[in-house]
Amino acid sequence: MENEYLRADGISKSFSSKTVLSNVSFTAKRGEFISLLGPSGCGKTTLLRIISGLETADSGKIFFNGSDYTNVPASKRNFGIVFQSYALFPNMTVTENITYGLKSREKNKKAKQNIADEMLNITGLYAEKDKYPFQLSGGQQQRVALARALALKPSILLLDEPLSALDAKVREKLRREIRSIHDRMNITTVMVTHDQEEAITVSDRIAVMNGGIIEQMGTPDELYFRPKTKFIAGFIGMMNFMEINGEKKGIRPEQIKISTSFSAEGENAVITDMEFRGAFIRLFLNMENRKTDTALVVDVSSFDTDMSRLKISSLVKVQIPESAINF
Amino acid sequence: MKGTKASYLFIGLIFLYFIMFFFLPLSQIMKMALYDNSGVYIGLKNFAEYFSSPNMLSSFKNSFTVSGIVTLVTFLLAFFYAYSISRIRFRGKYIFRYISMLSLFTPTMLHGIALVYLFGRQGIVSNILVSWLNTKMGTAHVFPFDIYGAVGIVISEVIYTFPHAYLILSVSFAMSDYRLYEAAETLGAGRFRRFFTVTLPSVKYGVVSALTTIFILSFTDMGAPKIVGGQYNVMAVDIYKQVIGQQNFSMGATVAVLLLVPAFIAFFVDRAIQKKQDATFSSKSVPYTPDKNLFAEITAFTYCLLVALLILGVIGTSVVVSFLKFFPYDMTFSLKHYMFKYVAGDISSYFNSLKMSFGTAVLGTAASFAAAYAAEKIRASEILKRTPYMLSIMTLAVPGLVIGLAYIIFFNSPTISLPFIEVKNPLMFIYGTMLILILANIIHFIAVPVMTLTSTLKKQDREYDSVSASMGVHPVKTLFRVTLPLSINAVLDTFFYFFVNSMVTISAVIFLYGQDTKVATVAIVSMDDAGDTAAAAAMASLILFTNMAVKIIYDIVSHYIKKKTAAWQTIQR
Ligand SMILES: Nc1ncnc2c1ncn2[C@@H]1O[C@H](COP(=O)(O)OP(=O)(O)O)[C@@H](O)[C@H]1O
Ligand SMILES: [Mg+2]
Repeated sequence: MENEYLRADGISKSFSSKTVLSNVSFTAKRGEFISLLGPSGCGKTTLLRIISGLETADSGKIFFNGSDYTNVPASKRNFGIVFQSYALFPNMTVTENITYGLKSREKNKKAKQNIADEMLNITGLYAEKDKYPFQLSGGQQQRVALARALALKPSILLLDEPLSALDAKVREKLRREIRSIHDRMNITTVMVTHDQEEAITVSDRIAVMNGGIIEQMGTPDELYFRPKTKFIAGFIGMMNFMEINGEKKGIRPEQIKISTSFSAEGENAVITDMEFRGAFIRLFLNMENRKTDTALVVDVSSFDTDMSRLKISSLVKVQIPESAINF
Repeated sequence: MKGTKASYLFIGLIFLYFIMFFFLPLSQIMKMALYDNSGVYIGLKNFAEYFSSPNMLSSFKNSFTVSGIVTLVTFLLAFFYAYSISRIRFRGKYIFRYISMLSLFTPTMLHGIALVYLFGRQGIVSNILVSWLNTKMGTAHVFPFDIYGAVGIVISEVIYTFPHAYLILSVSFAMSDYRLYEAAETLGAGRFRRFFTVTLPSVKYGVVSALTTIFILSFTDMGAPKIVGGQYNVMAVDIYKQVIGQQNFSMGATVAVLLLVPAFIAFFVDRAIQKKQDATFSSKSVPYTPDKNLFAEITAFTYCLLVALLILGVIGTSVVVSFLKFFPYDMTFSLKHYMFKYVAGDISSYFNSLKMSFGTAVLGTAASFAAAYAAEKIRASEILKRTPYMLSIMTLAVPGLVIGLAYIIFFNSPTISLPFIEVKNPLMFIYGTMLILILANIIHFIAVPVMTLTSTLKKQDREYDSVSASMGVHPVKTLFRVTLPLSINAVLDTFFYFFVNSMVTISAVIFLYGQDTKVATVAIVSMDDAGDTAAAAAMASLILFTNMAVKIIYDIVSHYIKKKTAAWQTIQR
């Protein structure tokens, strides 16, 4: 059982006639950090809500720690959930929000206070404990939502795009914090996101979803180096598709070598467009002897002085590596 | 989404409530119109009789004539009033807004009484002023028109409907998007071009809504025509005469059904319009900020001042006269009319009104919150949970008079006949009690509060309930700790709305009061019938004072709540 602490088994769901999830299955080990990654509208939130018990699947089952949880109501599952909107109660202070779910019948006020203090410390909100949500920054609000979910010591933590409302900088900082809270509390976590970078950096394993199914589930490097579908390849990083010796291959832009000298080995190509991206320059190439539907995308370091002299319509040599991925 | 047993029970109860207190009574009125007074089925004979009676037919025409004129006049007055206040800058807008609202606080009879004092046979203008002018100038003019009749009704109804139209229109004006004006201006559109290409289109839904509202309000009002209609009959008063005067329920029901027809049409027009308006309104609209224009400012101010003085003049006349010993012979101050030592109505009717209005406010607020809560918060299928909302909105199509008549027919009958069965009426005991007045008022006024509360709940994050559910918190705790505190302003509004409307209403209650539950508005009608006009004016003024006092309390309470909740209120839109 240790191998499948949480298991979704053949989950399907439609709203009126629209199929949102079809036969989705995955498992999470105890203490694992799982991401559900996919473009907007692919059914991530719906799947998360089904796991939490807030939504019921049309078919399929949810198992938790070996028992069938499919018909257990949300209130009895003890899964903590953080919503995209945070849904903090605006009329309650940070502390009140955090302790909201703790049983009011519990006479032991001290115990309640202790839990609140613990959560405030873990999330670094102690100084903010008597403020109301609107007096906090977006990042702090996010932490309150997290603390509120954690206060009940949930068996599983469910996060729905927890960082999507934040600025890029705050987002990076917080995702590291979320991971470190996960590690410290050793809490099994399922996070929904549409941001591949976010998923790659924090997750143990990622389930990439597309159009209501999981296309592939695996560790970040599995997905990067051994994508099973074109969709995965294009979604985790960037991928060029071409035919080499009659075989369909995928090559990542950062794998391709470019040379400006005519004597160098490789195929001839013309630069049709280029984008400065900071650390690297993205080139769009037209290959002389190869017919492709789309331009070949190649990333080169912007610190390479040879490369920084390149212009649109410059001629270059392209070296396609051997280690291309088969499709 | 699957609901729990409790949520089905909750929706079921609301459903049952509307069946018992809305649909069944209403169906009895339809039925009654098809039967004669002794209970024999006669098909459409009542209607044939109605349209062949010259008297009835003339009221039919009169109702349409009067309401048509009122609609036009009120609309024009209110449109420019609302336009001035929301689109042109000048001082004193708060006062103007307040004055325009005054007639929401008075029963329509008060306007009728005031007109009689101003323009009646011994009126201030028609008699005192005219004869003073005649002696001054040695002429012998007589006052040119008789206030009893169409003129009196029109003026009263204009004052009665004015605030309703003003409110609808000012909401429309407030909703239009200032960015459109800026865009039009940068494209070189002049003041008039902007008015016709931006202002008018953006308020067109409000305009239709105002027109239908004015029409229906004046079409179904019976208070003012009862006082100042004289020989000029209208349908609303006909119902009253048929039922109370001649005990002819089936003819009363027939007129009521005819009264329902335009009300239904107006209702559906208004609904269709509302849907369109909701669709076009963008929540990102930027409010309008007027620019400087001295000429427009002076014109607008003068216009608003004139309208405000007109309203104040009419309402003020009733109030002032109620404090005079014996108008027009002894014009000294006196409180004697406030002693209510008359057969036709005493002070107990005032206390009954207070009780009824308070009861309506408490129960009505609870009922409308329940309907809104069902629509927005209950976990059940979409259709099922929208039903309470739809049912409450439908009550908007049924005038108070019709509700009153439906209730008297339904709750006074020992059996309820449903399509196939006849059952004993379990609710007959409420007949003649305070409870039936309260229940009638709730159904009469429930639509607006349900709309207000629903839109308030809609603005709250849906995930509040999901969060609570996932934490294992009981929904009732969430209701009291989160949902209600976040809706407190709307709840207070609702309470106030029910109270004030119940204080001034006559239409439903006139059929339903019992020996010990005569309310103030009914007393006004009987005092006026008995010739105690000054006492009627006093009672009407007393209602006005009460409502003004309640408004002050309301303002204080909402100010207090604002202060109390200031720490987190800003997050709410
Ligand atoms: N309650 C609902 N009723 C109808 N359609 C819904 C409902 N919830 C989600 N959907 C639809 O299901 C699809 C998947 O939604 P969602 O799970 O929120 O996607 P994601 O979170 O991946 O963006 C969307 O097309 C959405 O419009
Ligand atoms: Mg989502």
